[in-house]
Amino acid sequence: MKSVTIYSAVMVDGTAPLSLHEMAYLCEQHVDWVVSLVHEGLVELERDALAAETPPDLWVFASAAAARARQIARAQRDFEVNLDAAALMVDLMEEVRQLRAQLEVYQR
Amino acid sequence: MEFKDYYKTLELTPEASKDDIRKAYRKLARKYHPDVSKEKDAEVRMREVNEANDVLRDEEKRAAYDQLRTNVSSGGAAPGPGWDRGFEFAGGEGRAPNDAEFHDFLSSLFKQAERQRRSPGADPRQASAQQPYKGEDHHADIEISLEDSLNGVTRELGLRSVQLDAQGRPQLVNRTLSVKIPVGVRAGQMIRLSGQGMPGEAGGPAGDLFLTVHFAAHPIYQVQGRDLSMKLPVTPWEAACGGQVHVPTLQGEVEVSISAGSQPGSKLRLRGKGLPGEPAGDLYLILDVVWPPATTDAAKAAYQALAQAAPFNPRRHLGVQG
Repeated sequence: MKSVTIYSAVMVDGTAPLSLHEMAYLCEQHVDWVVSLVHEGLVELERDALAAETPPDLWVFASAAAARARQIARAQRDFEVNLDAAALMVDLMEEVRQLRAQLEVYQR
Repeated sequence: MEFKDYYKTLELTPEASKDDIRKAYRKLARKYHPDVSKEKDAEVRMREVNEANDVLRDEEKRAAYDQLRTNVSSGGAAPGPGWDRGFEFAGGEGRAPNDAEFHDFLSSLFKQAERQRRSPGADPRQASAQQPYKGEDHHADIEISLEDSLNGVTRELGLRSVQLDAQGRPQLVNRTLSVKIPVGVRAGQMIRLSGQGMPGEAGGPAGDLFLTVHFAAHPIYQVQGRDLSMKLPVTPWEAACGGQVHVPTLQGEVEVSISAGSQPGSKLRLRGKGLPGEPAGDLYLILDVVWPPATTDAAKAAYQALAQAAPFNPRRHLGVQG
């Protein structure tokens, strides 16, 4: 049986940001792992200025933070490295991506 | 049901040891990681390799997978562990239904099994009847064009659920979800479809479906955040003497002034002609000087006249004569 209904998606950024639990789920990690990412300054909260006094349950994240956290989680798990090494890998990968994108403009 | 052979993906046999799996994964990760690989289909291959590794590296998942694998290859219909409820997995548009994300399906399966373990001895349906449980969130990727982001678009997502029939055998149920993509979404951003993840249990709310947006390669523009870049071909006389040229932008054709004495590789910025937003992005034009071929006598004469009129040694800085 096939049914079609049109659903409106909303932007995570600005409109429907991610909660701590959603971040943890998307990264397939425990919430404590996400909390440590924030405390180590490896990902930023949507409203970072509030981080110190806001309880983690009320934290919200933008999609860039989710993408970065997912990559860190994956690097950490796949290559069995610690958080700092995983974050460094993700930074370097991001730099390679940006350089490749720039290169592509000139190679066309 | 299309069954992926994870051992084949990792170029292993089912007898492979844990160490073999790790070595095979590392080897293939180096080969296919999209950030380092030069292979054409690196991204797709890496996704497959990751998916296989996710399952095979974990002893419990591997055992569950092996069991499922045996059932499938022997043609049996016996359900694998945790087959007590529907699972759903999503594929982006353009992918054949068989390529839909089996991984999501498997991970749902394992999470289900995990939940069962956490309440030992209890039937999960009975356990969950006591407390409402929010359904699982789901994640998938979706590819759209730049124009789709600019104008908004409705895309169809093929979703497949595995549900048990009256005899307790797993059946595939297909469902099409038409998703209206919000205007102005950028590559890398996530969008949320509330309540389109897994159904909740015991009156709990359904989970959400998250889609990460990717842009398909555009024939003209490269995208960096909200900014766009493109190579703009100009003639030698436009570059040398300056002039007005027409440039295609997402908002329509515009006229741009090329200043006299422009060099190849110079960058021009058209403010606000990138992707819309607060603030809107810019469009960068990278000048590319293109020479007309000297195929006619008149064209040859013109090049020779230029050589006479503007004597020029482009190799002077190399310390050579002419």
